[in-house]
Amino acid sequence: MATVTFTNVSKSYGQTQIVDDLNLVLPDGSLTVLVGPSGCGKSTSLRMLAGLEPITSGDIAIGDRVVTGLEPKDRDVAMVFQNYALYPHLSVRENIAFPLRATKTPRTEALKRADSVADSLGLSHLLGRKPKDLSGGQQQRVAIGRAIIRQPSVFLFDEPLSNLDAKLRVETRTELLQIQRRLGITSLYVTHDQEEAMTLSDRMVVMREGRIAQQGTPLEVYSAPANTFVAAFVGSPKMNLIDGVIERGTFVSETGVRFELQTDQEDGAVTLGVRPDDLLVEAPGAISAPATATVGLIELLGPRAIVSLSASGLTLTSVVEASNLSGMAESATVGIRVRPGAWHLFDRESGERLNVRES
Amino acid sequence: MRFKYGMLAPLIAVFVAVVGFPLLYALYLSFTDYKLTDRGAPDIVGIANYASTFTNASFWEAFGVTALYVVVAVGLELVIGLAIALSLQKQKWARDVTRSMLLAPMFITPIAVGLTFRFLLNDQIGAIPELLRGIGINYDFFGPGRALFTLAFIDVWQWTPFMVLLLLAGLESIPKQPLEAARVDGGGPWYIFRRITLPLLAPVLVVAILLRALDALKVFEYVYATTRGGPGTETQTIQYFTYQTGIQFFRLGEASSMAFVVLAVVLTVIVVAFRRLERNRSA
Repeated sequence: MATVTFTNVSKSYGQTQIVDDLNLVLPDGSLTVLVGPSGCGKSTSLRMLAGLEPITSGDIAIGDRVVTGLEPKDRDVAMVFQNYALYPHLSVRENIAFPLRATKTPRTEALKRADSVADSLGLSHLLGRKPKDLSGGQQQRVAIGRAIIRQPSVFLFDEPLSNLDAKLRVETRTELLQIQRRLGITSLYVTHDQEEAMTLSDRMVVMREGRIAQQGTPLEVYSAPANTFVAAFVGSPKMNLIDGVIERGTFVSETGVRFELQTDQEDGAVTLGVRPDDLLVEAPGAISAPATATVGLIELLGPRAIVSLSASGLTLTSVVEASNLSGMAESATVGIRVRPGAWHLFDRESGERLNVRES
Repeated sequence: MRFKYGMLAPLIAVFVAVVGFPLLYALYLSFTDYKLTDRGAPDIVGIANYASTFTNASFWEAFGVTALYVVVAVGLELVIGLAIALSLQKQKWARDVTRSMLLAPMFITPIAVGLTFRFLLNDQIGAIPELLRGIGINYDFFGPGRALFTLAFIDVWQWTPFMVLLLLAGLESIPKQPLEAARVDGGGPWYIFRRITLPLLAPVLVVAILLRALDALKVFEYVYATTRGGPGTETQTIQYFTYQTGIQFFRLGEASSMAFVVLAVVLTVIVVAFRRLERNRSA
């Protein structure tokens, strides 16, 4: 158990800056998720903590111990890899026991503990098999077993679910979360999937081009994105971002679509952010909003539907309760308005958040 | 005739002409008393040649000499080759240049290599014994009890690069993740080498050993260029012995039977080795 601290950590390959002055604290026992598009430096950050990637400058500490420059084996971390990275020539039992064997635990004891770990992961019937005879999900459980057998100070997860199919991914996600909670070991989890990040994390760190774009609890990040990058990256379907101006409390898009925000934001150029859930649609015949839009595609998801709208050259997305879909058909004209208070204003130039919103 | 057989015909014709016919003719000769000096048609003698080959102590002695030579040469090539391959893999700069330079010995024809070492290592006029004498070491490379190891050393000099080439390709095809996982899991370099790298390299190792062993088994040029089988019969390898019987003593029928006995033994070894390999792969 330990707090992990990144202090001014940078990594570059020649002229290319991969990670730029990263400062990050992983509280003891927490699960922190690094999320961002590919190439944002999240995996590199994780690998630097593992010791698999040398650091260009800065320091990483696990607890009170600065581990910068230490070999991976001396850091007391355990890692789950995206493609499992099992030892192909060893059986499931030997794979799980490997970390104990590598650290000179007697063979019989190592295998005994491997058996009990395998038992807790439901792998008992597969102990003698080789990795290639296992399904992807089973391989990942073996990889998890190998990580937890040693009770390390820190768990590292490098996109552990991305090679699994959708259903298995959700199941394994829940299971991982339960294991992490039960063991209470500080964990760093890397993913490009914002939904995974939202559901798993105690703390969520959104990265962009080697820097932290925003960090906080998933709710903080979701409800008050710090900039347009985070706003667009977090949440599904994607937040509507509309360029326009504020005129006496009303937002007018560049193409003339008006939303009454009743904001006290001073007049000027802004980017308006509205989550699809907060873009309300008025059925034809009941339009009271000043803005209208034409319905494009309607994608029914069950209880709700994603409705694509076009309003004076803008393409917008709204999420509508299925029960409110009556009268809405493709190419119908509907009214659109923003749910009162549920909007985000960003500086047009810098993309930084303008309005402070309490959640 | 079907088109596909037509396409194969030229290859089959060439194969029959240059491999099939000599092979079958040698098989025929091995059942005759044919001598190079004979004028008329040879007489069929049945299995007499095989019988005398099997009971010929010199033949089996040559077999033993060859086996020792193969074990020493290939063993050293394996160890040295693996060490070089491992360090080349870590090399960061001038990789291509180093690698092509290391391969150079392979491109020299073996008889030239043999002749070169014959002079370099000659006890009277050789440069290397002279240099050794300079530091107080008196060593006759072709002396009794040493000549065979000197020959093996020449083989090592010329063919270790081949081992390096194969093992380097093998090492670079090992997936990186298990090695990284092993580092994180607490393995030291030696432990990882023993428990992960070597087992993952095993299929390549087997093929490399097999290829080199088969090649070393054929050793002839080094013997011919340096010791001619001496001192005594210490370096009389199976190929050299067969050559002597057939070409120098003109007993081609008997030499052919020796060649077939060697072929049978080698084929058995290959089949067993590949069976093993297949079984390990499917296990």
